[in-house]
Amino acid sequence: MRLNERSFTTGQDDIKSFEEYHWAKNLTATILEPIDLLEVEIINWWTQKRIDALRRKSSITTEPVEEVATSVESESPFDEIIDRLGDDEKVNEIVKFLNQINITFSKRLASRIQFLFEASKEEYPDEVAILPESLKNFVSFLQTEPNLKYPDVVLSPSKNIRAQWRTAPNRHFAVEFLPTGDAHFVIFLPDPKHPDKTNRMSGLVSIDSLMQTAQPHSILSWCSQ
Amino acid sequence: MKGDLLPEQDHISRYCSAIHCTENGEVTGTAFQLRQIDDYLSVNWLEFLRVNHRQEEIGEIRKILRSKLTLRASAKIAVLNVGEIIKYVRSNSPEAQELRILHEPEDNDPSHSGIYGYSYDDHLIADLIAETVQEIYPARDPE
Repeated sequence: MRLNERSFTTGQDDIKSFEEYHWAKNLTATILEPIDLLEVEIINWWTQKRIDALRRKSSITTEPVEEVATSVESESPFDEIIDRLGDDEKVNEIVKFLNQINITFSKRLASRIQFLFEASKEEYPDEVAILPESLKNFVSFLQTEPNLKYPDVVLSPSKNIRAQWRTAPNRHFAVEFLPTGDAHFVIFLPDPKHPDKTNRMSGLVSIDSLMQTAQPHSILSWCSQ
Repeated sequence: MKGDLLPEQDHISRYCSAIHCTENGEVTGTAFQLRQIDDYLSVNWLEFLRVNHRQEEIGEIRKILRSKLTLRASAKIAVLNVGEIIKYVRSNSPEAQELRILHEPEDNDPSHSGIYGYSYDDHLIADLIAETVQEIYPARDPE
């Protein structure tokens, strides 16, 4: 059985294991801000656990090497822990993550997401404030496209993130990031043969293919920094 | 009367939540997107209110909205012209989409109306409607 399958089917063993790890560390180490350090600590705990498992496998068992490798390459601990959080907590974790990553406007974006989260909570208290998978897909997209300018960020009625780069009525690129990993895009741009006319198009593509689909329409001429 | 087409020279208002507006207070296409459960987009028919000035119309709309919603300071009321929405969307959508704006009065909201003729995933149409916004007012009374 792979380590991650066993660990995250019941969860109880891991919660206990993490608590033991957490208290052992925090009784001996200087504590800074436990909330800020939680993510790092989960990662350290998981890494330690995998190292222990590898040591056990290499010295005691005769399990095939490939199974050990699969175990090491499995989903990140942060992803697995975050899967268990409620939607609001997930959004908060992603906002915290945003404050730490290397996007030029990450702090401004984190502040904007926080605003949208609070506004959504206030106006629609019985609904999810922001769909965390949509937010996660948006942040991942920005990490893969570091040259994009800061977009206008709003929420769709479904509470998905929608980013818009618009500098004129005929320079408009708007993308709604769906939780499924797809993106619903709208592009308005000048007709290359008749610049006084505007070409308008929309579609649904995977987020992975979004820029490949949009770039032939020269969207980077107004979306990039 | 319910189901009547609104005259093309008349105006409608749309409540735009803060989550649909940019940091600069501009209204985006998401304010005109439908939810999957909606048959039409809710708006208010301003001339139906029979008051003399736009500010008074907006004042009446604020009263109606307050009775239905929690209004956040950064939310907006957008004003659009009926004929311009229909013409602009027809001329600029890839399939010459034909919208209709019908009176849909409710007991506590007699000017309530609806924009028909597009669906929740017609994001391009929603973005085109947003381009026809003529005026924007704060959803809350200025203090």
